Amino acid sequence: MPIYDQTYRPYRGTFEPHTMRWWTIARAGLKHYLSRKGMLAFVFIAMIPAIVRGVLIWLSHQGALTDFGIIDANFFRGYLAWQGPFLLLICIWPGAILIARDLKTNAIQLYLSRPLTRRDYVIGKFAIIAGIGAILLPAPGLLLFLMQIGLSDNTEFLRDNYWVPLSILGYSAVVIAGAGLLSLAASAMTRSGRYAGLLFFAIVFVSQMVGTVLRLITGSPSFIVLSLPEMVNQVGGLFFGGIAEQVYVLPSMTVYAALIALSLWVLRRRVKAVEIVT
Amino acid sequence: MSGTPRQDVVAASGLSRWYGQVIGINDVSLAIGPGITGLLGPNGAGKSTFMKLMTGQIQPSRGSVTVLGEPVWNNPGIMNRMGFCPEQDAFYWNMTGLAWVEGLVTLNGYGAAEARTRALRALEAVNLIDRKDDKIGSYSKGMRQRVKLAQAIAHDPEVLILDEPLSGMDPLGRRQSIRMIKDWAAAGRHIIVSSHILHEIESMTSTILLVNHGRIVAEGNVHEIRELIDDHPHRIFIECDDPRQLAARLVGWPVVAGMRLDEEGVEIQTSKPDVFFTELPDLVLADRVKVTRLLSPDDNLQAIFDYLVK
Repeated sequence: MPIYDQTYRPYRGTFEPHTMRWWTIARAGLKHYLSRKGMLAFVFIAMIPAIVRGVLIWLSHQGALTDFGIIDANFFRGYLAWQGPFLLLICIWPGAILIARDLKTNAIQLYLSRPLTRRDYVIGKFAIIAGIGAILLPAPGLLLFLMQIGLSDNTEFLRDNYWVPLSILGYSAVVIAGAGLLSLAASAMTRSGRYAGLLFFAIVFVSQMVGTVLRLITGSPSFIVLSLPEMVNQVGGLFFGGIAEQVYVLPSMTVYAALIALSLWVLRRRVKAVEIVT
Repeated sequence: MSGTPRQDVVAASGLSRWYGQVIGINDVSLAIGPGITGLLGPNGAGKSTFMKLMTGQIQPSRGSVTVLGEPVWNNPGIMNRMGFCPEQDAFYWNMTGLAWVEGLVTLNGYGAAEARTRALRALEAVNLIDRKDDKIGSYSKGMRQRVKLAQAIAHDPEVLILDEPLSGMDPLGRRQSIRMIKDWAAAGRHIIVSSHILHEIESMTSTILLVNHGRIVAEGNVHEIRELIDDHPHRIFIECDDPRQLAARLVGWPVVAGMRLDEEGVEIQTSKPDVFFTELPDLVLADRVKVTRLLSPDDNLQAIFDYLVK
């Protein structure tokens, strides 16, 4: 009869590669939020503009909408701009609670006691916002583009607008990166998801108010760079181009990049295990 | 005995951590060996800071710390070999115990099926399997402690770092958890467990690390540490049938530094307990004193703690 070794035997199986550990957080977060009825209803509502535009594309190909105008790059840029408020709402919920809740529950120390770096943690949380954001912005945008190609009789549209998918992706990436990181930074500033949401809301809408008021008082369009939504509009011009008022692209990009850098700095400072001297 | 040199489970060199002007841990150099080690100290001594440094959660202000020979700061790979049970609650209250443990084990890199198997096994080990599908918010304090222990062991780590794991448990839960911790150690795991309740530590191990004001005050076996404390002579109580006769003989002994007599026996103080214990049998036999019990009232953790900390 054999006598089996009862001492400690470590796991000899395989682990997921470390470079993908952030995906574990992202996957769990996306699964959690996208299974909630409230979120599904929100996503459905956010799809209505895409459905409407899809119908418009279809009608235009049926010759039913002669006054509708041409479907070009601006059509897709307009769609993305229309989706901006939905993205902002996602940044408030669940975006603003993602880190605040972990600060409140001390969960970060458990995340960091696993084979996970602070960077993995932040990337994982950001990927939750980015994942939902991708459902709202680039995914329908690209589908609309494919629909337009599919319904076209010739290749003229594709020849003139082949660059639009890349612009959709680039614009979405920049907007989601800025809004998502700002939302996470706000979330990392407080243990209350509610306050974090209010903080994010205040940054976005107060900046817009201040920028608009100063522009009206001074008459100088340079105050565009104080307004986050205006900055995003300017950045849109960089990807889609061709609009006369896009005169502050470089300053807007600079301020926008500074805002992303500031968000990353806040996250670096605030995302850490709880430090208590006991 | 194998000739393999002992590998330190934890080694610190000049380890310091400050929080602004506040010292968490100050210039600590030590080596913790295999088995169970009790980390002791009053509140605010720096135990939790030391534990956070050992688990790589905070960066040393100065010095370094290694676990199983590997640095822990910025080395997430080592976390697969370590399990950490924090002192504070760290839950998503609306999750079930199973989902919570499973989610954390997934972060170790296991696939979904393996993570579930491990979570179930860990919950079984801490006697929570019957409540696995209940929300953590409905758990008692003792159950919350146990589910924290479950997440610490679920990935089967070599080293367990347990920060006040018995806090809030009822007596039965404490006894079960102490038994469990000893079983883990018997299975070859290394455990560093902190507590400010001395008898809890004493029931798990005699190897301790005593921390106070951010410094290591003493480390090693409780009895060996006691031997080294020269400022406080050892107290030895001899219960016998004729305390007065025994006291009369002991007064003249050079190794006896002090004495107290009561109806049941004699308590002496000596700085040379080995000499005393060697010579005592001859004296007892010569005088025909019937000794019923020998006690060392201060050869325990409480006494050491009092002498070194208070």
